[in-house]
Amino acid sequence: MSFTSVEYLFFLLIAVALCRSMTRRLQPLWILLLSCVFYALWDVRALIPLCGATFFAYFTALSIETSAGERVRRILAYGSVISLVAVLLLLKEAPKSSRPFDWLAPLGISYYTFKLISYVLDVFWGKQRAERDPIAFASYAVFFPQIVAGPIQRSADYLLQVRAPQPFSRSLLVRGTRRIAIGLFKKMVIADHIGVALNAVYGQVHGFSGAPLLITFYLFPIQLYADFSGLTDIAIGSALLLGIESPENFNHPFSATNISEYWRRWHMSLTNWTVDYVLTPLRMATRNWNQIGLVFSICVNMMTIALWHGITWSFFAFGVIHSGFVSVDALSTKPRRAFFKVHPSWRPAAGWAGSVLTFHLVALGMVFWRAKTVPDALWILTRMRVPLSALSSNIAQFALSTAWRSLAVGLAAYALLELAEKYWGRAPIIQNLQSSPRWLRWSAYGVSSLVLLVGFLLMFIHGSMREPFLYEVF
Amino acid sequence: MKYFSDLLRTGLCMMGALLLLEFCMRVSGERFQASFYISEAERGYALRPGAEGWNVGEHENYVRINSRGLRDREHDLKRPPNTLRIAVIGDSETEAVQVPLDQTYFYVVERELNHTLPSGSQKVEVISFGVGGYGLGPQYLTVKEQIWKYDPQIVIVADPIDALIMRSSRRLYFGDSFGAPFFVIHNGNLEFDSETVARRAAPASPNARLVWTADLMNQSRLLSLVNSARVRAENNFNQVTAGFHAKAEATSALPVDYWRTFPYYGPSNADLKDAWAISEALILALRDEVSRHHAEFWLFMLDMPGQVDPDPQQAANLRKRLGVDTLFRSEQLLSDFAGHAGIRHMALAPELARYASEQKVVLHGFKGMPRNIGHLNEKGHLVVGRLIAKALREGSPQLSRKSLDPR
Repeated sequence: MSFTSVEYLFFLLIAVALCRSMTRRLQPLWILLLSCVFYALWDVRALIPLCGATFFAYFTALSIETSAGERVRRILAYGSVISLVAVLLLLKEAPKSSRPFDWLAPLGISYYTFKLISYVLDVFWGKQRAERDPIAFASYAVFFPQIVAGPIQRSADYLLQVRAPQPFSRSLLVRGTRRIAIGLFKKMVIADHIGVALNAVYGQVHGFSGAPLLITFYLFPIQLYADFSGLTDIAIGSALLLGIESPENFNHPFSATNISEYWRRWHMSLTNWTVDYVLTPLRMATRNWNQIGLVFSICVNMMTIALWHGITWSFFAFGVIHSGFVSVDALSTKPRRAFFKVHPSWRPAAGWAGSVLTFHLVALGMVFWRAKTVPDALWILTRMRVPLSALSSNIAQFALSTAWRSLAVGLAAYALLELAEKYWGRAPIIQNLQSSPRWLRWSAYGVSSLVLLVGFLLMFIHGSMREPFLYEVF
Repeated sequence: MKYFSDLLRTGLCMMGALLLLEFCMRVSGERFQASFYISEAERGYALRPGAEGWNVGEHENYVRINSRGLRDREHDLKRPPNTLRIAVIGDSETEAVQVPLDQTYFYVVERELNHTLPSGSQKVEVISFGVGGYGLGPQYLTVKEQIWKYDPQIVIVADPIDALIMRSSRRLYFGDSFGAPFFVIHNGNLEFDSETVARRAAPASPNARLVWTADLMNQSRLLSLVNSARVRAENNFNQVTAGFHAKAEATSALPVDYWRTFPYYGPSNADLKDAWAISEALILALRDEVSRHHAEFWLFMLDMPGQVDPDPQQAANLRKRLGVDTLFRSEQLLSDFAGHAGIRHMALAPELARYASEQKVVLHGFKGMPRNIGHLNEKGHLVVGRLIAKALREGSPQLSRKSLDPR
């Protein structure tokens, strides 16, 4: 059941109605049951590894807490982390070579495995107590809004909320619904429209050169952002309707002025996870190695992020590239600060140039992320040059030969989204809606309902033709 | 008073929003299936005169129905002098809303014939009477009631074998027949079945307001969206409720995919024997009707996608799955029947299969759809048109005449 299907909206409606009509004590049970149904609708067999990993983490954490010896605790903690990672690798990679076991690469396995690992390590490090309630804990692992593609929420944060979810209110309803609507807009209007042209290129990379590859280079980051942040928005909005506040995943990533800042703004829940459970422990362990220890920690951290997506040479290359970018950024931080201290007037220009440079570095990395193979990525990067005199005609030719209207709609919608995000909160009508004249309030509600209705009907009609989310496969 | 003033202002804002949404949908290229049909007493439904809009199902194409309810250009009722008219009767392959009008096979036939006939001889004009979903029953009524006012000298019935056989039987008709008439053989005579008789006793008359609404809907993207959603919701609802149960009951003794497999088998079971008998009777009735008007009758058996897959392995797989030696058995049987009945005929499927295999071209289906599934594409129409034109050129007495019959 896709997040962009009408079926999902009905499922969510039923889930919210059921959960909200239950007592607080029963809420985790309902979330668990509904999440299992949601997951089973994808493939009931995939519940086996999910349940297995969940119970394994639950009992391991209890054992860690009740064990007296540090050595036993350590063995249990690291043993369980290694086991969970091994199962993740096995289930993600083995089905590639054995088609009858496709179902063994279950939906969202990378997400729930990371959630469970963080829980076990938090209990081991004494950051939180082991959860006694198996139902509440299982509902954390299988929580349906987050299982498809995150965000990766920490157990302490979730378990606290699931026992005392935010009471259902009009503002919660508006926030949740608006978030879902924005997510659907990002996915169906921006990502899918831009994707029409880009998929044509990525489907047959070696058939293109020049402008099409250049357009792909610049537009894929926007498509991926709209696609993934749209998916996250729907997840966050759905969780909100159930009374659970999820962590944010994006914070205007393309406005980052350097690559480290970009990673603090992009897929934040994964980055924060790797910082807490990979980078920081490694940095602590290698603090005596000085700069080499820093670079080593950064490289392992970035490779973890890259290979979390899948063990392929293109993701490996993606990891290597970003390891290099982030290492250079980290090593040059001090000299840059010193420079700007002496030349403060350069700072605004550097900020602007930094954003442009960062976007290009990100786009470069994403070529490896999206291309099927490293040779495909290299083909794009080496053949996207176009003579400046022929640039506009080449772009026009490509746009006309593919779906120029789709491309234009996607880009216009993206511009609209950026403007709305910038000015929405500042618009007087939004700030003062409650004190506005009655006709203005009615009109605002009426027009919003109309837009939502048209959006719903479009989903209903186009549901079967939609493109899958790019991050659904992880 | 203030209340009404607020209501009025809100209404104006909503109107503005609606116009803006309509504008946005037009600019973004959102298109929805237009409505081209109208209910009709005689044939259950027919193409709605003057209807126009987008066909978006398999392939986006802007379709105009002419003022007399044909998916064709405008034709005068009176046959122009020195002109030979050919009426083409058929189903959705002839309606051909998936392809532009000038690429349909009946346009190709007209073009080919006019191009290859000796200069100074008669001009050929082809008129299409194709309507999607029609079986031989409604096609017979079309010939009886609709075509003679155009005074055609040649009448062609062109259908794939599944339409020729399966759609003659109410039991084997796949999907909703929308009130189309069905025949049965009673005491050796062709008669309407009881449901058709009951329906014709209380016919649904075309409602002018509905026609106006449908035309308006085709012109507005917002209204088309609402209409498309309504149709889809109705279909979904019917599938899970009464319609589904009724259909399941009616077809309870039929295999799940009978409509895909039965056309290949010939009259191999009681249901198919019944359908074949009705089809043969209708073909004879068509022949007699046409000869009563001193016109020439042709039966062209079009192809089904599975018969013309360019990949020989796919065809072999299909034969294996069906447990048959040939995919053209039904065509052979119907050709034998037509030959004995003195009907000029041609089975196009074997020719098309050979062409597709040699040229490695897919004749059915469109971009973005599964391979070789669906209606004839532009290439398919071109080849079918050329084959029909060739057959007519070589076998039609009307076309071989140097001057026109002044009939």
